[in-house]
Amino acid sequence: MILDVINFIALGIMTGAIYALLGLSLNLVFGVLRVINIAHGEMLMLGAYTAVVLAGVHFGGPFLSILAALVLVTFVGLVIARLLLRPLTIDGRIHEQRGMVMSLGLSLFLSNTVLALFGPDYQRVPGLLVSRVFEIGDLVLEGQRLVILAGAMLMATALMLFLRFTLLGLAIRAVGENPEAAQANGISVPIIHMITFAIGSALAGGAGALITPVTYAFPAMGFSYTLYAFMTVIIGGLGNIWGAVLAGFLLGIAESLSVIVLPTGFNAVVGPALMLLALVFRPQGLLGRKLIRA
Amino acid sequence: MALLEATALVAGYGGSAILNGLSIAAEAGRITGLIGPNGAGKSTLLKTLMGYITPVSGTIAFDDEEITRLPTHERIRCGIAYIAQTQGHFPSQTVQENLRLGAYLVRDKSVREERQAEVFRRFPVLQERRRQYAGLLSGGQLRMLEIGRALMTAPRLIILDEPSVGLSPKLVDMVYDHLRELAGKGTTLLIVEQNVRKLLAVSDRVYALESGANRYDGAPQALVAEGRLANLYLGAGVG
Repeated sequence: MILDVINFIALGIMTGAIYALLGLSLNLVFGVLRVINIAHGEMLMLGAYTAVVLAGVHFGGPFLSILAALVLVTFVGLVIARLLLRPLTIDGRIHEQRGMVMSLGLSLFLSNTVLALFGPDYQRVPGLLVSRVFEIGDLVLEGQRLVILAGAMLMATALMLFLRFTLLGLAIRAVGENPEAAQANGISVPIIHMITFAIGSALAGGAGALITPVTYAFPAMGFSYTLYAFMTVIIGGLGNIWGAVLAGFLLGIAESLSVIVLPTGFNAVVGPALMLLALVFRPQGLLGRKLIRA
Repeated sequence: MALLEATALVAGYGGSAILNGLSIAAEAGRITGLIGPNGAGKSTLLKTLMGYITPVSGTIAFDDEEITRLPTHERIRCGIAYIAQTQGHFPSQTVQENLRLGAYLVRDKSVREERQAEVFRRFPVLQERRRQYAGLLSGGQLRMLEIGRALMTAPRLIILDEPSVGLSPKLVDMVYDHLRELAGKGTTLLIVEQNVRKLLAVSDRVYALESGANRYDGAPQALVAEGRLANLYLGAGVG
């Protein structure tokens, strides 16, 4: 029993890392652009398909696929920000409702484009990232999942360091906090929006390439990840980057542990239930501030 | 010679004009004051000059170059600095980071460090508090931070929206001493102010605005002598 619990916690931490990365990147985009990006999961889907296509032509290997997904989705993010978000920007701010509706349209467009190109089949990257299995006493950890955990944490840490210690990161934080003042400092808000959207999208894309060796890629996969990203963000606190990380792990672990108590198939209820609890008892999120910024 | 010249500006929010053909000029190296009752369009004028609002018609020229449609951040690059009434800073960044953001356009590290040292010499309290979040500063310290931040680009023109707002008389004097000193060193200043007495005392030229149009302009002494101030603020008859 105890071993089961430890095992499920370990499993939960690994799924949680992906939720954390998704929540983190969604939060970054929301915090700076103030756009609720419904197409966030589709960025993950594009990353997953990048890995599938590269594996199909036997190019590189799984690690190169992750890099390729990061690059490709960065580019896609830049194009979306330039062509679709820029026209919705009035006086340095993106129109919130229009931005959200645009991202809904984008989500449908991207999933259907992939459906037209690749068909509805489940696709999988053959082979493993790492085939080793680590045994610590009776605890068995697949190397594959450890790589996912490490990869997600690496990307999240890289983002944190970038935001904390670079001038561009400082400019991104500045635009998120006060776009008018950022402009008065000579910062181009549209360019920061483009860069931020591209980074946020790329992290989701990287997550997609990271998980395809353990899960399937299919055209409609994005939406459920969008939902997980939103649940993570709501539990952790909208706009709060550390909150998303904490909530991601919490969600992953809770979902994984629920298998012990709940009947099979009911673990999908855990996320929405936690989100509802958060909304009722802690609407500002775990680490969110009570004050709601305009 | 006018460093900044706005001619026949018509501008406002969402189709309704607040400025109705307003014209002003800020002479190089001088302090130009803008006064007028609430709703005269002073802040709207400054936002239009800074490019936050695009005018429906009229032109803005800086140093004889037309900048009417230039985005805000490009105007900073031209040598204009803007100190907003409130919230011109980043409360959850440190004092040091706020100053670093002020020098966003300054690529040369030694120039940045030199200017920051200058700001710290001018406002020693900022140096003491450089690792604190700007949101924890007092009103007076914030005004110092915003002036310091604006100085990081070594601007030729500083546009200020009510630098005295929320400050004690002593701090207002302190702020205006600094502004006067900057003007003495050749920086052009354009100041909107509710504290009319203070502004008249420091300005070389004053524009009185009313309902988004020019009402009067000239030397502040003349404005006082002719008794036009009361008319402007009390709305009695034609000035």
